[in-house]
Amino acid sequence: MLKQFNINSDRDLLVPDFACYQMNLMGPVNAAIAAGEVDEDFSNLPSWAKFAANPIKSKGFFTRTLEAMFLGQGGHDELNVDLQTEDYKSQRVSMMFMPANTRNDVLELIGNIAQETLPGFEVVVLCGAVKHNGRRITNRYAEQAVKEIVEQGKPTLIIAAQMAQRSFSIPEITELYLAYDRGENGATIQKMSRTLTPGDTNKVGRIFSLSFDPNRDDKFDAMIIETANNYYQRKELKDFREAMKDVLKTIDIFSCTSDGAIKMDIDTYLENALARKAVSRVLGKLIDISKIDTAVISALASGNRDISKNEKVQAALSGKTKKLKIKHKNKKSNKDSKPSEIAKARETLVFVLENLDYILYGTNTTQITDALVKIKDNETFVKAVEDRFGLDFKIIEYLFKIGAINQKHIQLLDFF
Amino acid sequence: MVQDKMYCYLWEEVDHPGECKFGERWVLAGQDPEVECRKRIRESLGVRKDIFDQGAVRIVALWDVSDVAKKVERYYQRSRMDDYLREFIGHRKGSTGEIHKLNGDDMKVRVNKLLAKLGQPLVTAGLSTKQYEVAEEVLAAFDNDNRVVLAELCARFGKTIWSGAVAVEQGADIVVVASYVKTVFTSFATDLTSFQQFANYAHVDTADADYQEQIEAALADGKKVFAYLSLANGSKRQERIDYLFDNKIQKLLIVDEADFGAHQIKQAQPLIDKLDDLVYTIIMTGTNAERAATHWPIDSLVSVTYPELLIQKKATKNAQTV
Repeated sequence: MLKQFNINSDRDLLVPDFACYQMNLMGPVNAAIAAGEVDEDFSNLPSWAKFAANPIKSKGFFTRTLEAMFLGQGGHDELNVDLQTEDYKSQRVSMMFMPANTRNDVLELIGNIAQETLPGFEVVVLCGAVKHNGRRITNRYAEQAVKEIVEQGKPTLIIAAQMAQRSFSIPEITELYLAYDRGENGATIQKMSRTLTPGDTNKVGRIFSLSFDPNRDDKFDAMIIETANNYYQRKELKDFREAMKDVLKTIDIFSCTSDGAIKMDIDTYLENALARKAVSRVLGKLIDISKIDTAVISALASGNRDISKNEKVQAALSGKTKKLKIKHKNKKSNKDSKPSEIAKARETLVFVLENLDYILYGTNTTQITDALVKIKDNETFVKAVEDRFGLDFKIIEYLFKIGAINQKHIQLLDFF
Repeated sequence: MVQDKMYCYLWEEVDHPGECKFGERWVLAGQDPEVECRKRIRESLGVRKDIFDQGAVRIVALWDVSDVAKKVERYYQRSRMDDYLREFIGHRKGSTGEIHKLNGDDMKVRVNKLLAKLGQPLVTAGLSTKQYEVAEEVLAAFDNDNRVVLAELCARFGKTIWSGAVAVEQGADIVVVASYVKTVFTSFATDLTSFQQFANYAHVDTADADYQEQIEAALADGKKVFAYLSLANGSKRQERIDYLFDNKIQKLLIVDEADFGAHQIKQAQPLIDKLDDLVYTIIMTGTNAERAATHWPIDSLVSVTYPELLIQKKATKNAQTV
């Protein structure tokens, strides 16, 4: 209990609500292909990366998409934002994030296309190539420039890629469009937060993932699974699936259809998330790697089973070493494991997570502890597991022993 | 409000940073101070009320200065309490005007410090439920000898006031706020000086030439210190780090925006080298926790995502309706 601070629960109410929308762009894509408005490469496998590489070659797709979203034109009601949100505003303030590696000159071009398509809008491009009132846009100046434009009262579309991901707070932004295929989870959450600056008390930040393949789109997954993980730990729940369900009761995720937005039911969302392997990817990211001995991290990163025979790894597996901790002056940082090595180790951990069913089904068990005992007592099992995972069985056993991978992961991944 | 109060207000024009207006308003019992001050500010713009109506005026702060007004015998309408206070602040535009040639946030910090010095009780800060819970978690981690805590706290969590609250509760004499992002320091000083719980803290920017004297004077005066340390590489950075850490004083190190610049080895290592039994550390970031923690020996992790704030909001709403 804190001594000098009390809870003021009114502060809990200050955060704006938000809703997530999955939009399928294939309607305007197909229409643009039929009209010969996009090049062959884009037609074969459309992506935001291809669009951002050369917007002129797929201009037809983009103009059709903007017309459908903001003007309700072209017969693609599944993209009509007013229909999906059932919320019509005279001054819409929207922000669209293009792929992070979009070049400044290309971003400016995309802005020009958007301005031509939406003449009633004020389109603002945030990048170093653009000037506002004679002054070049910078990270520091972006917020002020946009505020001045929003004050004019016109519907506004802000287009950005790298800039304005943080320290950019415009309360009037109520719609946020993620126009890229895959991005780093942290950056996506930063971008989503741009619509969560408190505005009026009933503000709802609406986040749209613009996707060419919604079934494989995982932009919302990391936030949801991370939330469930925290919730599971804080509430000391026994069942991780229950935590996921509780979280999904609070966050509205809609699928956009020509009849309007349909709220995704919890089971469907979970099933899709598992199918696109989003759950294992996020859980892999959440594994507390600081629990794992640096020698084992190296072994996981190398993917080479032989390394697990070396002395350091053997010592770690038998519990003779401790993880590095700095408790006293002049100890060194945990730089023994390089970021690239940690990233590779995580990939291996994700692979282990994705294949846990092999261990469970192979041993006909539901509890991982039981499965490990059965495997340990059977040389054939040990060899099969080592062949499957490419790791010494002792390493897998170690990961469970220290709790880096645990029954919680099984509960969610062994879903069906 | 059951009795009349003396309020001071501070505002600035959004398009004209670097100048601000400090004034007073006598608020009668039963009136809303915020409404009255807004009314006064708008009226003061005369024929340019449109500036206020268009949202080009930012009200930086309001203060209830009644206690100190009573002390200095200015607790009555039109007592020129604002002029009394502005004499201490300085930076006036002209010799008689009510405009100060200071950025609004800078002026706010100066007024906060002045009021604390004059004995005017400031507003008591309350924490959101989630802030409170996570502060308890971190303090428990420190109690269990976890020295370095990674705090991944989402947008709108309120990291500044939260970490300030942890610092107060943890009780370190020197709180070093280190960041690669300089605006962080303004946020800390502006936010924390507004609240009573931080009244006994001095805020010292280690970029000031006399920062050592400021810190020593504050400690000698029985105060605690928030020391702001830029991690941008400069000729004096190491000297400042040595001064802040090479002593026998209990310290809390808060690395804010830890995934931005501060995660690089050149920025992190000089601080890591100073970790010892006298230092507790919070590595604080909104996202990219793994990047933020790249070089730090993390003992414990706390994390709050935005949907958790919404879960709490829902729970609070439900509790309030029951």
